[in-house]
Amino acid sequence: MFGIDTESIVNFEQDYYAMEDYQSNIPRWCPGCGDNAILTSVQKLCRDEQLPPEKTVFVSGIGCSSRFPHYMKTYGFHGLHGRALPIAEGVKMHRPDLHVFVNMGDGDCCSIGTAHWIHAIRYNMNIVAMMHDNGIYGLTKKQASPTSPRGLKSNTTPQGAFLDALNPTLTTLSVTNVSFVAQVVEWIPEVLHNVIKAAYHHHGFAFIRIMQRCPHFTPTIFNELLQKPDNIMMLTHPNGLQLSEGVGKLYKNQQEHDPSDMVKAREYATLSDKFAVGILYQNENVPCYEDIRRPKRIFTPEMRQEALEKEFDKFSVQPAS
Amino acid sequence: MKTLDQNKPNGGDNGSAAAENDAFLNTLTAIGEEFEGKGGETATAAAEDSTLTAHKESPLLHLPEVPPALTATEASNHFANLLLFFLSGIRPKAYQKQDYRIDRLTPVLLHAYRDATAVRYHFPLFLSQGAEGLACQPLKSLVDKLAETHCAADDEGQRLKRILLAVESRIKSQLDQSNTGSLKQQWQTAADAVLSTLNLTAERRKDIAARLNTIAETLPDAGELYACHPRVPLLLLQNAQQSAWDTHATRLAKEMHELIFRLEGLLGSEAQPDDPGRTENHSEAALSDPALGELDADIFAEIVSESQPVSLLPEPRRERIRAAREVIAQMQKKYGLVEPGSGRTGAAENAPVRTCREALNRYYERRADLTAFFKAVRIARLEVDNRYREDKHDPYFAGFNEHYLNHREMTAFPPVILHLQSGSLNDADKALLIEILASDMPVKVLFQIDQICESAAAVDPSVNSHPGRQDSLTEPHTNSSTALALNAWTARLPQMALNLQNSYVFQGAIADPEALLEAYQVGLAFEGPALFAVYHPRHAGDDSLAQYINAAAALEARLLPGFRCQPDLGSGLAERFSIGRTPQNDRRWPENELHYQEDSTTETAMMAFTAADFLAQEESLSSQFLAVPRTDWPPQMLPVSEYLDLSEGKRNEKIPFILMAGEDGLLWRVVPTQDVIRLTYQVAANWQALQELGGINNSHVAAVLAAEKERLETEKAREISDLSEQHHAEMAQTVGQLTEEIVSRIAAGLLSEGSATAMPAAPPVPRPAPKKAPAASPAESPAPAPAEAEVEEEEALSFDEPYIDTPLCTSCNDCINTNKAMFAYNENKQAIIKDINAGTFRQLVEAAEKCPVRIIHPGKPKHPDEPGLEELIKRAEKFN
Ligand SMILES: Cc1ncc(C[n+]2csc(CCOP(=O)(O)OP(=O)(O)O)c2C)c(N)n1
Ligand code: SF4
Ligand code: SF4
Ligand SMILES: [Mg+2]
Repeated sequence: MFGIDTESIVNFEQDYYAMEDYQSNIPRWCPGCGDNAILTSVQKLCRDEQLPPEKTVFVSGIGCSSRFPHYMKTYGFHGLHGRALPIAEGVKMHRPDLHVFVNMGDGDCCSIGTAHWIHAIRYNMNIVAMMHDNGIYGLTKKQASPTSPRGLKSNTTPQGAFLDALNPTLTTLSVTNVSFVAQVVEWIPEVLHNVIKAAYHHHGFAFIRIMQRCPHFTPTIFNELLQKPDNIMMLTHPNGLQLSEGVGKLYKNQQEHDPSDMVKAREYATLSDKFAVGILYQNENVPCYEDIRRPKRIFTPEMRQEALEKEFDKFSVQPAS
Repeated sequence: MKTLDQNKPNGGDNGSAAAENDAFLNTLTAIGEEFEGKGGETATAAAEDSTLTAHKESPLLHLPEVPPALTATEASNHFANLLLFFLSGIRPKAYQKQDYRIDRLTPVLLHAYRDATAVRYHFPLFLSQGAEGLACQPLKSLVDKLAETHCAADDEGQRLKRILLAVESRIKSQLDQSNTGSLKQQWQTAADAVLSTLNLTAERRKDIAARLNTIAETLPDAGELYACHPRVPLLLLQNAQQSAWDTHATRLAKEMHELIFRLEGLLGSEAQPDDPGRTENHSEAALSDPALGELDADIFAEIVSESQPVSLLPEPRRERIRAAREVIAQMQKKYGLVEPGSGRTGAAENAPVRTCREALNRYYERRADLTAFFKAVRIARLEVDNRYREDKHDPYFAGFNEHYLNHREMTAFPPVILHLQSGSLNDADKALLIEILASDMPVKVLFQIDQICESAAAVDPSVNSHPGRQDSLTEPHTNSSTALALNAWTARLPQMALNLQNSYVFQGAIADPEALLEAYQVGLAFEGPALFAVYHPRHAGDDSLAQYINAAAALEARLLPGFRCQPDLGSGLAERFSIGRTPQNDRRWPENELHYQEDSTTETAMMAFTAADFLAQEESLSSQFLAVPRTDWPPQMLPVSEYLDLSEGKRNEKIPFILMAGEDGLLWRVVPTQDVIRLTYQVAANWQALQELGGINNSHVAAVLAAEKERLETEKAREISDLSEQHHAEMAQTVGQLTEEIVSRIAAGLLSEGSATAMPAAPPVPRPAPKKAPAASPAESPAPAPAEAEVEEEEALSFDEPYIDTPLCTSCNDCINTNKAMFAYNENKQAIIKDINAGTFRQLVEAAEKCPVRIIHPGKPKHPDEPGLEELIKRAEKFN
């Protein structure tokens, strides 16, 4: 009646979140874009873990992949190109109670955002960082990125990229305080989901490089992996990735790898003929920056908010209707 | 049932000498647990424990010696004497002596519970606020759990267990003084006291003290103990109410806090330029709050002092917001809608009222408050969302009244608690009470019954009925022919409320506190009125056990049977109504085993506990009973429960009795007056009505069952006779046929042998025609079902069905975009074929081609007439 909710009092807390509760706008990615698969996998994680939307934040930079927060019905921060990580760290520092996720492109992370990336690894804050690696600047319509394979023809490299691609996995593995590194392809949903789940449960900075198809600009770069499943080497371990029977049958090239073994991890990160998929490295014992720096007295976010807003409120202006 | 005949020779039973009466009434079973004996333990242990086993068992029940047989005259004299008493209540000369009064006797089933120190029962009751809300449990279960975890099975462990039991017993006597106390404190005091009485070496004392300390540490920190006393029904109710309200208020408080915060945000735009918040000092003071972390006060002050506040709120809007905020704040204060820990008040609003008038007034006031409150809340919500439109909302809120409130809003403030004592109701209260119970107001009535029946002498006309005005409800008291009656209001109010159909009704006694607490919790949450009729004896003496036993006995004897009716459970009685908490509720009276001795042998008899037994232990009614020694038992005596079954005419020849026992265990037959028996009838009839409502021994059902049984039996009988008839007919036919066949064979054989012997010509055998398929008429002829069709069908079920490897789907939307009716996502947002007939085979193949992970398998086309199929089938091949 008159636009009034008759059920105006007592919000009964929702007791179960379904996938739809995390879905907002219909994604505007190209047909067949691998970002869709990552989105679905993350929404499934949120549902499986029943993350309260109001306690969950997705932070991104700029790029196709960075449109991610728009499609999640949670809090989000569509940041500046290359700056997703420092923003996320700021959020986490002041609201350690939130679940913080970062989505960034290969250009975002490994090009303009490289410095932040390196330091985020070293700060080791409890965040899940997903790097959507399509080997190209997608949003700006096809410029070579640091992870573009040598020879890739793009608007900035019309004669083909001159340099060998940067290996983001190996780079991450060599930074001080690294605590979780995984590598996956977005087109095996089960594996993608399991790795994101492990990253979510990891206490520390969890970096996942996700090979992501861009049918629009780099339609062929993953052909070797897509067409020959044996080129994918599944790194399995009781403490790492475990495959279902179905996936195990499709991807027969499996290798047991203990994620605590850094030397082996670096080896798998640098395979030349095969591509390793799974959790390469994990160490739960690296301290998190926010744990070290947390003030001695703990203040709840509500206490902080109340104190701050009381101050700000004196000066804020609310528009009339 | 044994009737313990006057001249009955000994029964043959030569059981053990231990005649204890432990299997009493269900609710009292727990009482039977006594402290364990010392068993075969060492002398030191026994010495240590000497104070722990002070309790002596109640003397064994026994019949007096068999007296010489009565002569016929004696017998008829006794009968005449007892009949006189039965009919008139006048004590015959022979029985005027003190000995024949029953003051020192107990109903025989209660004999075992004379020693209060030994009896473990539902009290002290431990009430605590746990994770799952308010809960109660008897102290004895708590102690049993402690014993289970801390006391090993060895001697040492068992000794510790006895110490725990002694502590429990000690707490009981402590509580006899104070009635309530905190568990931790009571325990500590009791443990110290017990320890000091133990005869121990210093070392042992230290050891045991340490063990007791360890145990004490595991006790819950918060929580109260209650002895059984008349304030318990209300205290439990208040606790339940507070607990429910706390949860509710906390949630409401949080919402209101946020709302006010946002309203203040809106009003904050009114800040004046010289607002103190703009000064540097103020910022520093505010920001020194460590909660703010590492903000720089100077910079902050600089920024904010530069900003220019402008008031953009139009005056009427600001007024409206202020008014709403005012009302909400006022109600917050009145009802204690603040978060826990910040000094919640509002206790006054939860306090019970004592008259119906007050309850109604309070209810009306609360309703007005709710209306004002929710009007303000709704305005506030519209304002903070910027959705208030004066043209639409002004008229709406101008006419806002309580009818605009929805159910949840109506119950947002605590219900009104009305505490009534059955004995002190006046007429005005009675009328209003019915009105309340028939309404839908959330008024929760604790109707505390302290006396279930009264003798004429006990009726106080100034309280129970208006002098000079004949109150039809209380008529039985003033009816001169009945000196003793059920208190009409007390006994019938709950049942009347039951008939009103819309209130939650509970009837029970303090002896079942767990049921009571549960009823409170459900009844408080029930949206309409609730009536909790709780019996707590007034005249039972002041120790906790006596009150408890009396209350338990009232439940057992069906004077106040336990029942509950919860209208929101369903529309049928089976769903809403239950008499589950009345012990042995399928019987008229509960029956229990009784062991007694006669000539040193143990006898066992089943004893019913009737309303008359209950009345016999009511002090005020002792003049209604006459104790008769065994020497004077005429043969016409009959136990009450059997007497009640007699037809009217037979009753004149008999005298009913109940059995009671003295402190020494000696059994007496006790004759009640006919008033007592009349009341017992009344109780039984009342109980039967409840049983029928509860679906037990329902007379309608019984009648239907009997009719149905008869119908089934006749039907069965007819069926059997039909069957046997048929059987006979068939037999006859078969025999006939066989005979014919045999005869014809013989005949044929004879003929073939060419015998010329003249035989009577056998009639031609009517052979049954071989079953032929009915001639196929063109219309009926079944469609040819050639084998190929079957094969085709089978093939269609194999790999030619289209499918998607859903778990491998990467949710890229491609197939869905091809045809939304044909493809859809499942609950994991992975594609499935939703309706294969919603699109063409072409679309299916196109989707398969688009699918980046190649998991769509188109199978074979469903409709053979789709154009271009040949090409499509080819394209589909590589995906199948
Ligand atoms: C500071 C800044 N520099 C450059 C750009 C232009 N820019 C927008 S997106 C982008 C690269 C996106 O590539 P990537 O991070 O790989 O994301 P993708 O679109 O491939 O998902 C660039 C260079 C920008 N928006 N801001
Ligand atoms: S350009 Fe590439 S990465 Fe961007 S939406 Fe299209 S397919 Fe995806
Ligand atoms: S086209 Fe394939 S991957 Fe894409 S949604 Fe459909 S089935 Fe899934
Ligand atoms: Mg990219």
